[in-house]
Amino acid sequence: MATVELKRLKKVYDRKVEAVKGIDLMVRDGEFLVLLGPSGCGKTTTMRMIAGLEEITEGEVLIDGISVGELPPRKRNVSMIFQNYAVWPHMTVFENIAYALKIKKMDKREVEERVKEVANLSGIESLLDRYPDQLSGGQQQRVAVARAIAVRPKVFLMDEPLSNLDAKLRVQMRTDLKEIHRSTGATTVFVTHDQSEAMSLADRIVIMKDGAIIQTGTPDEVYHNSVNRFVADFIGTPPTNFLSVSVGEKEEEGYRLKGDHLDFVANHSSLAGFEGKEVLLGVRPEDIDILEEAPIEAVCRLIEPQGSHNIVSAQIGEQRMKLSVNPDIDLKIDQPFRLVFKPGQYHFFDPETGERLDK
Amino acid sequence: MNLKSMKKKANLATIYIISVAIIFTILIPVYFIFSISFLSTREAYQYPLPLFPELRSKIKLENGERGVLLSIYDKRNDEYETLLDTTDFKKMSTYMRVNLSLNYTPEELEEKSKLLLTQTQVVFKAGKDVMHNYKTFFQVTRDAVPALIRSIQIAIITILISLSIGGTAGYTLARYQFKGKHTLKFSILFVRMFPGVAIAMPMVIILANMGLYDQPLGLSLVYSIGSIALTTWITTSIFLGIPVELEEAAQVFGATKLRTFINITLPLALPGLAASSMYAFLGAWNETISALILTQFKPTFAVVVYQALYGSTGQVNLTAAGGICMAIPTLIFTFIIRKYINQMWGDVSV
Repeated sequence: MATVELKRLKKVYDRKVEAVKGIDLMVRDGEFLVLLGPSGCGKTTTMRMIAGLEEITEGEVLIDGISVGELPPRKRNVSMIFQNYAVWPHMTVFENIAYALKIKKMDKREVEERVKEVANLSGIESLLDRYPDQLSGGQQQRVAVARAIAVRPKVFLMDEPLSNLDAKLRVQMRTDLKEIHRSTGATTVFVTHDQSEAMSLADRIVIMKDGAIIQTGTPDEVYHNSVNRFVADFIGTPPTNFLSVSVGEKEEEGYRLKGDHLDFVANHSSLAGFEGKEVLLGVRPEDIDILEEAPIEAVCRLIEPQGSHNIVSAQIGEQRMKLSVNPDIDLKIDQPFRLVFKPGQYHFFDPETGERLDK
Repeated sequence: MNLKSMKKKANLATIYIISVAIIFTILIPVYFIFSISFLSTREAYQYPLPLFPELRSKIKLENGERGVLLSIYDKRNDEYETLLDTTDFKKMSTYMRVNLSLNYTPEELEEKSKLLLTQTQVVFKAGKDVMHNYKTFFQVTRDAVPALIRSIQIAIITILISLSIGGTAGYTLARYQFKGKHTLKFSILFVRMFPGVAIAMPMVIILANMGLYDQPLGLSLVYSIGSIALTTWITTSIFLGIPVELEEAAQVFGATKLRTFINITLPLALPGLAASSMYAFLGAWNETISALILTQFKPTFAVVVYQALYGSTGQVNLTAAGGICMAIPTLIFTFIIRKYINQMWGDVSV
C-alpha cells in the first residue's frame, strides 16, 4: 500500500512548451484517483512522469514518501495499463503475465500460481495458451490488467485503458476494474478524458486543463460544486446549461434576474455586489422542473428519449438549454411550456473569468 | 452476355497473359542455365542450343582410314557425325570425357574395338555422366572450394556488420528525435548513389593501407557500406511499426533497456532484420566487379565463376555449372530466412 505525492511537478518540452505547469497532488493510500481533462491537458504526461517514462523537468514525485525522480521505471514498483493494451504480441497470455515475475526471479511454481490467480481475477483463465492476436480487444485489455495486478505493485497507473473498447464493453470493464480495485485495494491513478468514466470509477477526481489542476474533489463535489464554468461544462451529460442574466436590485425575496425572456427572483447571497451586472447562470439539466405555474416560458424543440428519462432541448428566447425530464411528462415539439430552476440547485459564474461566484 | 462482363473477362485474360509472360521471362533464363550446366561440351556449342541435355548417347565405332572411327548419333539430322579417327585409345578416351561427358577407359574402348575384327561396326549406347561439368568445374577452376568458403565468410561478416550498425542506426532514427534527423536519413542513402567501380580504385588504396587488400574482411567492409544504408531504411520502418508502448510496458514491468531490446524489440523486429540480412547476403554474394578489383590471389566464388568463361579452360557449360553451384547457397539461405520474414506479429508489420 502506498501514497503518491507530486510536488510542484513540471514538464517542459523543447524548452518552450509547458505540458505540466508545476502541480501539487496527494494520492492517498488505497485511493482510486482519476485524472480527468480534455486531450492535451497534461494528464497523461503527469502519469508518465509518475511511471518514470517521462523525464521530470522540475519538482518531485514521491512514492511512499521517497523521491523516485531519479529512478528508472523498473525500480519504482508501479505497474501500468496502456491505452492500446501493449500486450506483447510474440508471447502467449501466460508469458505476458509471467514476464515481470520471471525478471524478479520468482520460483517457477510460484509464478504459475500467481498467474492463475490473477487470470481468475480478470476472467481470462481459459485463454492462457493463446497469443494476443487471437483475442478480442476486451480480452487483450484483461490480459493487460492481469499482468498489472500480478506484480503486486505499490501503485497502479492506468492510461485511458478503456477508450479503445466498444461502448458496451467499456461499461462492463469499468465495473470489473472497480471490483478489482476493491479486492486488491491498491492505490490507483487513472487517466481519462471521459467524464462519465471518471464519475463512476473515482474516489476523487482531479480535473486538469492546460497543464494545471482546476479542481480536486469527489465525483459528487465536482458535479454539484464545480469551481468554474469549465468544470461545470466538462462534467455531466448533457453538461450544465448556461444562461446569461443581468442582476437587478435586491428585493424582499432576493435579487431580480432579467434576461432574454427571463424574469424571476433568486435568493442567492453570492450575487451581492453584482447588482446591475451581467452574470452566467448555470443549471444542471435535472435541476429544472416543469410546472404550469412556473415563471419561465420555454418552447420544446427536440426530444431525445433515453428510456429512464428524456433529454429535451428547450428554447428560451434566443438561448437553448437541455432538460432531463421524466418521460411521463407530456411535451410536444414546438409547444410552449413553463419551467422553473430548483431553488438552491443552480449557481452563478463570472462571465469574464468563468469562476463560480459563491466559491 | 453483356458488354460489362465481357470487358471484365477481357481484363482478366490480359492480366493472366501478362503474368504468364512475366513468369516465363523469369523462368526461361533460369531453366536455360540449369539445362546448360548438364550439357556436354559438344552439345553446348551446337546451334541452336538443345533444350534438354541428352542422357544417353549412341556411339558408333568402325574401321577408318587411319584407325578406329568414332561417331556419335545426331538425333536432329538423323545421322552419325564422325568425330575422330585414331589408333590412340587414350586420346579417344580423353576426347570422349572432355567433349561428350562419357567416361570410358582406353582399355574398355580397346576391348570394344576388338569386335571390329569380326564385324564392320560396333554400336553401343553410352550413359552420360550428367554431373561431369560440376566435377570439372571444381577441378579446372583455380581454387573454387576455398573461394566458396571465402564467399560464405564474406557474406556472413557483411550481414553481421550491416545488421549491427544499420540496425542500431534504424532504431535510433525510429525512436529518438534529434536535430538533422531527416538530413541524416537521406545522407545515408547517398553512399548508394556511387557505382562500385567508380570508388573501387580509392578502395584499393584504402584497403591496402589498412592491410585488408585481398582479404575477405576488406571486401566485407566494402559491401557493408551499401547494405548498412539499406538495412537502416528497412529497420527504421520496422521499428516505427513496433508501438513504443510495448517497450515502455517492459520497462515498467522490471526490464532494463537492454533487456527490453532483447526480449521485446528484437523478436518483433525479426522479419525486418531477416529481410535486411537477405539483402546484405545477396549483395555480398553476387557482387563481382569490386571483388575482381579488390582481390588478387584470394578471389570470391563469383569471381571464379566469372573467370570460368575466359581463358583456355573457359567453357559455357562449366560456367553454367558454376553458376548453379553459386545459386545453391542463396537458395538455402532464402529458405531458412523465409520463415522469419513471414513471422509477423499482430499489428506489427513492415
